[in-house]
Amino acid sequence: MENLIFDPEIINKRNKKLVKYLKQTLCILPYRIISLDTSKMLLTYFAVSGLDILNKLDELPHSSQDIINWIYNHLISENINGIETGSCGFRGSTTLVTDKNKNVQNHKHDCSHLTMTFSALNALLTLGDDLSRLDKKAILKSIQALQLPDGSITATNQDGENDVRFLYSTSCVCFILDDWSFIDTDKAFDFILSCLTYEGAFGQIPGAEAHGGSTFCAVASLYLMNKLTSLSEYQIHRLKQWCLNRQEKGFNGRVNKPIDSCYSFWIGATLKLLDMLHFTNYDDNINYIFETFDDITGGFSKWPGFTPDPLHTYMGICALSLVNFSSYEKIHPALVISQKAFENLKKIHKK
Amino acid sequence: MSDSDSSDNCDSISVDLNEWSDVSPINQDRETNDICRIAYTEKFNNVFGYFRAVLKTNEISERAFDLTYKAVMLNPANYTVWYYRRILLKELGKDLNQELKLITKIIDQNPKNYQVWQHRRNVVELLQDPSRELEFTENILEQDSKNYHAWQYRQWVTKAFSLWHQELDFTSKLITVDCKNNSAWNHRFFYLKNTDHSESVLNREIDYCFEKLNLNINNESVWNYLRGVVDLMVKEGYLYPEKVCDFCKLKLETTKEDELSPFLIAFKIDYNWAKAIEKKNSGTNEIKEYVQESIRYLDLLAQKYDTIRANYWKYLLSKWNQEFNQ
Repeated sequence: MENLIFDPEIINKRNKKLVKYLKQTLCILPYRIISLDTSKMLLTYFAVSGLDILNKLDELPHSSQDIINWIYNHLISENINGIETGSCGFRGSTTLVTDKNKNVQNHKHDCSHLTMTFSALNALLTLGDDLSRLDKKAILKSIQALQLPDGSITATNQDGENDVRFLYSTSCVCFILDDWSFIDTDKAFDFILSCLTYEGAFGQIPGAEAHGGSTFCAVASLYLMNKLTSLSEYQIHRLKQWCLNRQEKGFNGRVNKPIDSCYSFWIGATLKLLDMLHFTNYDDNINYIFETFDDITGGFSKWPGFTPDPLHTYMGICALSLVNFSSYEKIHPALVISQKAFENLKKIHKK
Repeated sequence: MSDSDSSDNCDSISVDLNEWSDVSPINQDRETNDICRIAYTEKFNNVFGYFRAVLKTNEISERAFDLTYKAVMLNPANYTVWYYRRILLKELGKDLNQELKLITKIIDQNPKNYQVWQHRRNVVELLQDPSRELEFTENILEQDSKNYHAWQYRQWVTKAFSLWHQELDFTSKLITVDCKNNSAWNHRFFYLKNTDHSESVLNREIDYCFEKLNLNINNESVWNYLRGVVDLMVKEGYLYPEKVCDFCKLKLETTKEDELSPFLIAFKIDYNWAKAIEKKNSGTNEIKEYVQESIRYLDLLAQKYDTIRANYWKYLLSKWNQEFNQ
């Protein structure tokens, strides 16, 4: 098995299938994924960045410029009547767009979503865009309007979900736009810490069970805020051990739950940020990720023999990059884009 | 994120064109639908065509309310549809109990969708009646005892309405069925933190952990919970419960070497570390036994009991050597 996984010919074949899967994601998707209809921006980010990490951005099925334009078509830069409602930023799709001019809020219920804003920025950076078409202030002012008194931030101005996922999206957006002045970072920090559980890792909201995805969101946010060092030595020790204990072959996301390929990324990236990933067993991890590879469609799924999906496919690719698999591009473990895309961001910051 | 299939086989979902003859549906623009294009069904285009038109005019009507039902049945993850539906619920003075029945059915079909749980919470907030919620979450947890959404929701209900009286027994029941149900352990800790956690209660919980560890020593959920309780005792200013250390010692001495649990060993090593640091800082030299034992166990973890983390245990071993100058 191991020999097969590291066989250059097999790597090559599998990479080709992964490229095909990601290209397909950017073209047409089956109706059964309709629950992701409002998250097309996320899928675009996964597919574009996935191709980038595989060093195959030249095989995009559309021109870069077309994708960049498509992304900007999802941007709301202006609220109706200029009244701040927390609507500016990127939509996840144009499902609820009603007007020709898409860059203004089309109607009262037209709004951006923080995860989609984060996804759009990451996709733009990956495609080499310089972000000059953004009205940064409009986006940041909207985020400011979405912060709650407890420091958490809601994804939209509509449904009130305010867990650590959206604090992570916010942290990425503030980091990319290079401006933290619109949110209260002390309160945001307090909220993140309130999600730290007795188990030593983070849950999605205060009181919730420690979870691999939430732990990544919390740790990556702290890293981007430059506040990881504010955790105590004991807290860091427990956090590291909780993450390391997630490995069985691949990783699970909660204590006593089965392993799932996406946690090779969520936990892997967290451990990378804590400078502990090199203490895990790479071969076991890589072997498990490839057990979830679908040789026909070319993507990764959560468990061996299950249907692949864009999330697990992208997470699988990122997880492999983290453990230096093949010639995959290295990723920035907190922003989750290639180092190449991160270099693009550094250039933008220097301007 | 849920990628569960949404069924679209319900005929009642189609739009009655007579009812909407005064409205022109708004098509989704083609320009932005060519990247990540979803192969929408006729029905989907139809319902969302009218839904876009309704959003544009902010129509508050019974037919708009019915349309939101059709739209959420097609895609229960569309948060704007739910949001709009809640506006209509309020504006039209709809029967919220009826809505609760509907959302019960929808959650039953989509138990891992964020938006449906959020909607239920909003409806219960409007109703200010949590009387059915514990039974409801219990039913959902019967299908999947670790459903993260259901637990999060149950925590919200218990805390928002102070419904604590059943919770300890509820977790005991689930833990008896499956001692490795970490979600139940987490809920138990949530209960503890939000209710009486006097020294006697915390001592009772430690005994509960011993009881469960006697059944299975290698259960990470219990070790984490035990650690949580001990940390809470220290935080509350109570004395360190030495019986925990005694328990570890006894287990380490009496368990066959082949059956030793890495969690037990790691727990004892952390205990030793705290003790050794404390002694070192107070200038006494009685740290030898802690250091020697820990180094022996770290070596065993790396070589035998937890080889997948061998590199980590070796690293920790080097930290011990560094700190205590061996």
